[in-house]
Amino acid sequence: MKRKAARIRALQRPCFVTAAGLLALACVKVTPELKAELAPATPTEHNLFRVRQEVDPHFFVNAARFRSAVATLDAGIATLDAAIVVDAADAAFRDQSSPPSATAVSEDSGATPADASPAPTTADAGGLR
Amino acid sequence: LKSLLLRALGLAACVVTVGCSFSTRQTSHFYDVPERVPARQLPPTIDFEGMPLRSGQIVLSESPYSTSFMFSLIPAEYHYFTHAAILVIDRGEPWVYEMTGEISSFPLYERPLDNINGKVLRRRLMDYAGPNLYVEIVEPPPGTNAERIAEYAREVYRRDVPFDPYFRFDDHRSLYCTEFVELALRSGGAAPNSLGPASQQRSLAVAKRWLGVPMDEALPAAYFYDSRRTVAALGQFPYRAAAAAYFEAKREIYWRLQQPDQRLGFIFRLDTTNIELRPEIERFAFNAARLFDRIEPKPAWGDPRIRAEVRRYADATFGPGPAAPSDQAPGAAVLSAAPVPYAYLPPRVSTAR
Repeated sequence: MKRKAARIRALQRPCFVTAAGLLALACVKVTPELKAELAPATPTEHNLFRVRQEVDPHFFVNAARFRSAVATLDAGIATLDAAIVVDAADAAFRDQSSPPSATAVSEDSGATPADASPAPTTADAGGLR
Repeated sequence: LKSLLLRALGLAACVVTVGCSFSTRQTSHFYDVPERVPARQLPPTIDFEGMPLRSGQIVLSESPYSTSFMFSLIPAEYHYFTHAAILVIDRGEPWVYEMTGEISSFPLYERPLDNINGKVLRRRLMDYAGPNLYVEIVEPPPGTNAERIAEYAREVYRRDVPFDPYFRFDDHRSLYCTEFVELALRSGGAAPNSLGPASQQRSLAVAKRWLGVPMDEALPAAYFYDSRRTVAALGQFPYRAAAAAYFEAKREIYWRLQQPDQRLGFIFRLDTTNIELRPEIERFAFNAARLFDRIEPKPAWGDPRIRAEVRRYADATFGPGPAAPSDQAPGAAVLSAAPVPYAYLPPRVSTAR
């Protein structure tokens, strides 16, 4: 079974193996130029991926705001969906006992805030990874 | 000693290819798709797990590996999906024929991609789909001969045509995944796609130069995609809009990285011998897939609110991003006129090649 799972994993690769796999090969040298590109961001660099806050996705799409967005939709589709969406949105909104969770973290720590739901993992990310 | 070396290399290849953690769970969700395509009326069709399948359909997929993030960055525009293959019904059972490569054990060459070997693999549909995050099966373009498409796939498989790790579309003695699908479609009479432009982002250019892949052109898997022709969608996300949100999160990452002052090191990290997705980037993408967990009904595939919410989520997480490109949210037409089918990307037609 293990062997079969390993075989499936090995086969399930994208159409080619890029840098990720190649770097494992001792004979393939990473050029200094590429190494520099892959270096972590320095504090002074303009990094558009620096985490400012970890946000709980479960609360981020606020049901009331979503309802408002529905109201602005094209008339035809709004008529079709609004009643259902608003009802569901109201229910979802009532369920929310706290406002959207957003906790600041240090810029590069990437830490998950204590009051947010756990970050997706192999085990619980809905089977995503 | 040779055995040990082989084992060590195999292990290394496995570890680095897997990259970030992922689930080995089999596909557990089949999503409803609008029945716009009269697939059930097109013979010969089989009903497989409720999906109307037939030879010659195109299989588009998204893997959970960090390499799929790398692939997404290469074209000049962002696209859903990073792999394409052909569905063939053999003896009543659906099989996926895909051109794919993997690291060879020996010999080891200095040029990185010289170490990649591959050919067409033939696997049962669910064996193929299981480990993927998301898979769609779409009809080939109207007017194509699906049986000829399938026959081309079988022929390449029989001839053991090698994988082309250098992505040279002008040399068909070896093929890469989308080149294989493109030629299969052409053999079925489809109008040819032209290659699209590649991103010219500075940091990406360094990586491409190192790999030795084409700097200026790409043939993204999404060129074969038109959601009007989707006959089946399956994957590991709990609902289909979650898959869309995941793709939109990748779009945010794509667009931010395309800015000239951004570096690959902001989203990937070099961990001794591996290039992995940075954990905060991975967390962002999978958190984005959960944005609509508490919203009912779920937004439909192509609903522009998915992109809008993911963008807002990215801004909250990373700070405001650059101004969005002028592209209109795919699927905007779906909300303004429900009966109008949503086309994510019209095929590019050219007679240049």
